[in-house]
Parts: sequence; C-alpha cells; structure tokens
Amino acid sequence: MVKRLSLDNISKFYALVAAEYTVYSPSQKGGLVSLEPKKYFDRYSLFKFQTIMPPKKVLLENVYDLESNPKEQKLAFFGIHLCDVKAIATMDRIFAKDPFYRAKRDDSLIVATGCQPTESCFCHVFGANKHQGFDLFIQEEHDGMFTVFAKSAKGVELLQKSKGKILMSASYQPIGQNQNEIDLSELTDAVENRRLFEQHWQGIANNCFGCGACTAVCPLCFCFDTIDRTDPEGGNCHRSRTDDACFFANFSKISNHDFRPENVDRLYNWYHHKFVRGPKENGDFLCVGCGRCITACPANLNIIRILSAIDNVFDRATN
Amino acid sequence: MTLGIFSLTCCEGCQFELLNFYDDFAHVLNFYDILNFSLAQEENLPGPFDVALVEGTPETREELKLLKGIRKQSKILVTLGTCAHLGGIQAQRNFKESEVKGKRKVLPVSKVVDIDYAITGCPINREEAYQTLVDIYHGREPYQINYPVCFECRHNQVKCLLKEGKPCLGSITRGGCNAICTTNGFVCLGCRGPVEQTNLYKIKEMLKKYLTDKEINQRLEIYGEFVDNIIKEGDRH
Ligand code: SF4
Ligand code: SF4
Ligand code: SF4
Ligand code: SF4
Ligand code: SF4
Repeated sequence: MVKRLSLDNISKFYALVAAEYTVYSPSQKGGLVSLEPKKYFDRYSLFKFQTIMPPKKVLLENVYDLESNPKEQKLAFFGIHLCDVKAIATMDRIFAKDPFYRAKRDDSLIVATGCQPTESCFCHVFGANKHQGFDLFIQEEHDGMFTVFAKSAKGVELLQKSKGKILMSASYQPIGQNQNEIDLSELTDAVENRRLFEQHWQGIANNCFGCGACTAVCPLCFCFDTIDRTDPEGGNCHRSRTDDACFFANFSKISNHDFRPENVDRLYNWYHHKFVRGPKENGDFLCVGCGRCITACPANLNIIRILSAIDNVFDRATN
Repeated sequence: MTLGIFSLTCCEGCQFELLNFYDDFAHVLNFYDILNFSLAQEENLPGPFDVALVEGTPETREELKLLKGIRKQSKILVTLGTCAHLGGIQAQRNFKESEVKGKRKVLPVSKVVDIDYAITGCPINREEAYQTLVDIYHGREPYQINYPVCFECRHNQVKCLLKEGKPCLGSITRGGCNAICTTNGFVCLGCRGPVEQTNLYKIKEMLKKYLTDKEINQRLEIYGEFVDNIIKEGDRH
C-alpha cells in the first residue's frame, strides 16, 4: 500500500505509531542527533543525516541478569536509514536464538526514511542502499508532500488508519550515491591473506589506539562480556552481559593466555570478522558502509581508505 | 572479614568519595568489620586485616613505616586512587628536577610494598571500590575495566573533543568512570591512569597539532613512571 501524506498527516501518523509502540526516533540532544524515545514528531524525526548510534544501541542493551525473563517490548524505530535497516536484518540472523534480542525485536516496527549521504558513506558497495527490510518507508517529495510505502502487514494496518490519498503507483527515489568505491570481488581474499600484508596491518595498528570507539558505533559490532557480580546491597550473585569489543586486550584472554596479544592482532581480527568470517559464517559482510566508524575514530583512521589500500596491494601482489 | 582504610599524603578525596553516599558505603559493612578508619571512627586497631585500602603516597619516614606495617598486617592490600597507584599530582614533582631541588622522589605505594589490586582514579569511582571489596569477600578476582575512556565516551553519544582539536587523553586512559568528563564537555585528563596497552606515541603525535612538546609532557605527567621514558627520551619516530 502506498499513500501520499502532508507533513501534518505525517505528524499525526507518528502519533498513531506512538499510541501502539515505544518510538525511538532521531532527536536533538546537545547539538547532536541521537536515537531517543520520543512521543511526538518533530523536525528531527525524519533527519537526513545519521544518528550517532545505530538502533543496536537499543536492541542490544546490556542485560543486568541473564537468568531473568526478558520483557517483551513493542518498539518502533521511526526515521532510520537504509544502511541501519540492512544491519538489523543481519543482526536478526545472528541473534535469532537470543531471547533478550528477540524480546525487543520480534514485535518491533521499522519506519525507514531517505537520507543525505556524507563523505563517509559507502552503503551502495554492500547493497545497503536498497529499499527493503522495513515495515514502512517515508519519502519526502519535492513538493513538500510525503509518499509512504507500507511493505508488511503491520505496516499496511497502520497506514490504513492514517489520512492521505492512496496512490496506485509510486516509485522509490534512489539513495544518493557516494564517490567511495571499493572492489568487493577480491576483498575477502585480500583480507584473509594477512601474511602478505603484515607491514600494511602493522602500519595501521601503529596509528590506532585500540580504543574501540569504532566498535561502539558500528551497527554490526555486537561483542559482549559475561560477568558474574555480587550486588553489594543484597549480596546476591547475578550474571550479566555488558558491552565489550575485540579491540580490548582482555577480550581474547582465556585462562591467562591472550590469543591476540598485540593491537595489530586485534585490529586485524576486526577486519577479518567483518570481511572474511562474516561472509563465510553469516552469508554477508558485517559492514553496511554507514561510515560511523570513520566519524568516531579519534585517531582519524578511515575504513574506506584502509580497504581500498588493501585491495590495491592485493592487486599488485597477485597480478 | 576485617578491613582497614588508611591515608598517606594526599588530599583524602578518595576516602571521602567512599563515604560520599553513606547508605551505599553501609552495604560494605554487611561484609566487613572496619577495624581502622581514622577519618570516620575514633577507635582504631593496628590490625591484622584481611583487606587494607591505602590512599596517598608515603612522604615521611613515619608514613613509610606505617605503610610497611600495614603490608605486614594485611592479607590483601589494595591501593585507593591515583596517588597510591601511580604517584598522582604530587609525583609531577619528579619531572621538575630543576625546579624542586634536593627533594626525594615521590614514590607510589606499589614502589614501596607489593600490592594486590589497584582501584584507580582521581578520585576513585566509589561503585568500583565497593564492587572490588565485595568481589574480594567472595574470593573472586575483582573485575577491572581494561578499555579506554573513548569506548564509554562513544556509547554516551557525545562529540569527540579530540576531533575538535581539544587535547583529550581518553584514548589512552583506563575507562570505568563512564567518561564523566568528556560526556560533560571537558577533556579527559587521564586521571584513571593508562589502560593496559596504550599507544602513547600516537597520542603525542596527535596532540602536537595543538600543544607544544612541553605542554604535552606536562599533560602526560599524570601517568607517573609509566611515561617516564617517553617524556625523557623523546619520540621513537
Ligand atoms: S550509508 Fe547509505 S543509507 Fe546510510 S546514511 Fe549513508 S547514504 Fe544513507
Ligand atoms: S576508533 Fe580508531 S583508534 Fe579506536 S580502535 Fe577503532 S580504528 Fe583504532
Ligand atoms: S565497519 Fe564502519 S562503515 Fe562498516 S558498518 Fe561498521 S561502522 Fe559502518
Ligand atoms: S572525546 Fe576523548 S574520550 Fe571521547 S572519543 Fe574523543 S578522544 Fe576519546
Ligand atoms: S574522563 Fe578521564 S579525567 Fe575524567 S574521570 Fe574519566 S579518566 Fe578521569
């Protein structure tokens, strides 16, 4: 179902969604735009630039007590971009058996919208700019009206309740392409071949803090640590799940042996997981080209340049 | 179990932090008998202790003797705060030989006696201190965060100050403070000490854009002996 809505009706539509769901939508906070629970539509709800954190911030929250029963929730993500939608689809496969993820995701609603690519975006490389994976998609037209596409039963049901003219045909505007190109055909081979590029990886690692800022913001980084803790108040022990990342020395330590002792091992592992194990084990790269890791890196490392450089070195080495 | 809480030369901020919310501190009393805590109680025993918390650095002969005595009396000795762990503010004196003549070097507790664990920070994060005590009570290795402040800072969804040209040390500093400074718009001054594996050379290179060599070294002094070589020998590159 497709409908044409005015801005006023979009805002009413938001209220309709909010009556049923807890809606997370881009919101202005301290000069930055982040995904926050918000009851009313405002001019940030369909923000064209990225939120600092992807929806995983909500879907993969820390769990205080892993033995407790997860609370079923009805969450809606209103105004997220296609790269984040694709990342959610990949996460759905990885966390298919995780009750805490499922409790948040199973009844959730995705309302996606168009975006303005920045110099850090390269979603088209991974096909993460395709119009798929959402319940609803809101597209702003040049005349200030909005075309709303409903793709799922849930989406149709909601859109039926909203005011607006039903359209018999409508088409998606393509998401603006960026200049950033990476040749994927040899990427997995190139990354897998660490020995060929040891110097290259070492060079990157020398410029990396191993701070994990990139992993914090990445929609497809999901490492966690499981910790047993006794709460000082009651003296009860509980097992909890908390954010972690492969960039940290303790992460790969087992029985006091560190399987990735140097930062270069850990940095390499990050790329290996995203571009080698990802496609092999999950059927897809663990990157959607959102560019958040570039914006977040305090050392100004750039995944686009790093991947292109590896591709180039690989080309030279193998041809 | 029995506990002793001691203060050597310092501002005593960490002890106050322990007591800052008395209701929370009271939970510790579920697990420990406090035999010695001169800031908070009048009657104090010399030991023995299952656990001793020590803040500050030993500056006088009496303090050195006290510290060695505490070590002898305690099964587990935990340093409290950055002074005891790395030397803290007063240890910056060690880097100013020309200005402070004839003074003995400031030594952190770990240089004088063996320590078992360190609760870092200036001041400490009191939750972490309570958790450490409870973990020790249960015979569990205390959980210590070993990632830089940046990780918490990004999770808090604020602007990266280093990227805006402000000299933030979060990328080499141990987290666990929930990036309280950067989240509130102030650069990280490195008070929790270095994270286990740091890239000091990179941070120096980055700070060079905004600060003089002297200013950079002054900022790094908070890490105490850890940065000694780097400050004195200059760059690897
Ligand atoms: S990565 Fe693609 S979909 Fe995501 S914000 Fe950039 S251009 Fe839009
Ligand atoms: S954010 Fe940058 S410096 Fe930090 S771990 Fe990632 S690549 Fe390295
Ligand atoms: S690796 Fe970087 S570009 Fe790729 S999905 Fe993660 S944050 Fe986005
Ligand atoms: S502001 Fe400081 S702590 Fe936060 S990400 Fe930037 S460098 Fe790291
Ligand atoms: S942000 Fe830095 S200076 Fe501030 S409390 Fe944390 S470690 Fe200390």
